[in-house]
Amino acid sequence: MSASKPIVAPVQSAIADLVVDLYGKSGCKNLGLTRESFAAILCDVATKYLPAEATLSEARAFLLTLRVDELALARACAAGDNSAWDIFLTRYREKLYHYALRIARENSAARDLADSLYAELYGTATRNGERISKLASFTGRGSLEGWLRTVLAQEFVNRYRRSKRLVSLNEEIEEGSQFVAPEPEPASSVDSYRLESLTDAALAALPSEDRLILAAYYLDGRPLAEVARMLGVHESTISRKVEKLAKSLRKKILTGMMLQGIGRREAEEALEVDVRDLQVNIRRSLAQEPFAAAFSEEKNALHFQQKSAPRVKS
Amino acid sequence: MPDVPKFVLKRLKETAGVESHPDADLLTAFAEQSLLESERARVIEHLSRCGECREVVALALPASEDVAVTVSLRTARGSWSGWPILRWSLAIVGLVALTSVGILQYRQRHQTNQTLNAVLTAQNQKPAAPELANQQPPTSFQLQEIPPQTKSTAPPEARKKAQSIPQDTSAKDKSTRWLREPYPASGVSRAVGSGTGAGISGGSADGRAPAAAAPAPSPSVPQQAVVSSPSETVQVDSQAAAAVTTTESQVSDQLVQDQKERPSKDVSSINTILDAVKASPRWSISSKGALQRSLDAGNTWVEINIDSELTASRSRLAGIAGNTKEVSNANKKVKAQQSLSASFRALTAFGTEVWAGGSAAMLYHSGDSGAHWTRVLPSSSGVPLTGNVTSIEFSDPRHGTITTSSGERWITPDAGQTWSRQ
Repeated sequence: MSASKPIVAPVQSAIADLVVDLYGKSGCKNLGLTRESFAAILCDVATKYLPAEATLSEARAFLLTLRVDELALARACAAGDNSAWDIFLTRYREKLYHYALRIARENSAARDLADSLYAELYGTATRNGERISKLASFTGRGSLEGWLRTVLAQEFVNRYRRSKRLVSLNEEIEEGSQFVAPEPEPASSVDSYRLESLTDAALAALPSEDRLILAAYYLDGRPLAEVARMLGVHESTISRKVEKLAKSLRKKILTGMMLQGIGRREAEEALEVDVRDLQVNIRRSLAQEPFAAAFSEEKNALHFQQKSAPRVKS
Repeated sequence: MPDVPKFVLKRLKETAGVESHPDADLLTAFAEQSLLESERARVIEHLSRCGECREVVALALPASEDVAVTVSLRTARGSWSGWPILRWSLAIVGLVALTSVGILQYRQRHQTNQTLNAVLTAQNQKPAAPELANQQPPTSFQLQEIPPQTKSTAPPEARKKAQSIPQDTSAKDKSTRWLREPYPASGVSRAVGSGTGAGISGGSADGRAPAAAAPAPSPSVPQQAVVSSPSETVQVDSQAAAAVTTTESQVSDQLVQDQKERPSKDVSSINTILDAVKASPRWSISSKGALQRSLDAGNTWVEINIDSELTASRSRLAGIAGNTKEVSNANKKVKAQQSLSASFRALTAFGTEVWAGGSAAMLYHSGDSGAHWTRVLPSSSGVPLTGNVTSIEFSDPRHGTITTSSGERWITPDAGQTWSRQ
């Protein structure tokens, strides 16, 4: 773990304060973990996540947010405790496969994914002749269940990226020919460099949460509901926010252009022109989307949009 | 949704950085809303620039269909009838009620013509009632249950009661409706209230009280029903209560003497029922941070999801720009409300009073064992509660203390009406 970081005094005293309490709560006794080893685990976790200047109350609050019972279970498994493994398997064996299926959406891939995670959890990788279980890296920040899902998702995304690299060359050549020379922007004197810098400035001025919402919705094409669940807010909140963000961004860039001496009509045109060939660029970015189904749906939606988009008066 | 110019997307994409990704623990804690504020800001900053991690977080979201039961804050309608236990227990109670009515009708016919006549003459004096009272002998049999001590209060109301009975019986076929009432316990008080008041009238009580009153003549009914589940005992309670109140009115001395032993039996069974009702449900928080309730002393647990609507369908239709109003409207319709998996961290139950708190200053209170919830937003001299609620302690139903992840302690002396911060 993070042996490099020195252990800060407030963290130590907070652990000393709470260890009895947390040790009781975690049910370590039945899992073959002593209080000392549990305290060492807590210390590891706290030094990993807490900033060096953390105060005593911060450290206390942090320790209280940990899921100590699941932390103890995971670490006992990593240490090879049999009763811990029994508990782990009865709790998660079934679930793990279900998670994998939901992530991979296909039976054999899911099985593959779940199996490889099992191997990692059990610890096939050896260091100095010792098996290292992936469970040793669980820190109890979130639930063990959520952690397992996240680890599966990471593995899935990694694999997907690997396999994409293998095929993408051909695709790029094909697509490249399609998009080599976009039509010169008609009747617009606004150069793309200025647009870009204006956009960058407008984006940078946004809080990162807003950028995350924009990216998840427009760039990744996630449904509003999913974006909302990522952020733990209600869908309607996100819906309102996206609408507001898109409008204000547009306005900001528009005023930016006008401040630089571009006429209003011209500036609007620059924006509208882009909307019309928006689909070109989006299709390309969507080609990198993992799911073919999503891809075709989005494309249809775009066709529709393109047809019904009102042409701008000039 | 409004569209965003292409260069915006381009720039959004190109600002992606190459710093190291947050580990699985942080991403999990982010999705479960259990990060400290400073960490959350950093993770969001990373996510806004890293498509891969966004993908991971989205893929790892818990399935929305995990949500078993929805108790909506605004309308709890419908959800109670969805519980298998409740559904079956209601069916059983209904069956018991029907058979007992049948048996009593049969017995009564063979027993005392005298009794019947006495009742019928009493009914016939009331102008609105006569034919229905004739057609529906079983309702008049409820009179058998009259406890002698209530008799004295009855006369002024007797007339109204007698009129209300035909209504009741005609409403009996609607009796299934009260099964859907979100909150059986309130049914008890309402049935009692309307019974002692101006008779059973109006919409809210119409279906409920007659169904409750019908099986009353059989003293064995309550005892049979108590065994299955607490929720059932509530109905039985209302049966007994309604029996007492409806029978207050039309009195025949003969009947009272015939049935003298029964009231005492009823009283004892009512007491056991009340005890069972007092044994309030157990509460817990699942590893996912969902609220769980057990009505059978911990054998089975059901997730309670406050303030959410179940997903009807998921659609990825038009994820990018819906350029026209129609498209965005269609989007809104198609993408049904997705339930938000709130993450609870702390919980305390004090009889029927339940407090649950969790991520993002989430704090809910229920005064009726979880049938209805209110969001509590503590604030002290204009400063609202922020951070995650990590513990809730109540020494009695009014005095409580809440601790947040930032180490603040919030104290209420009056069940959450006012708060002070420490």
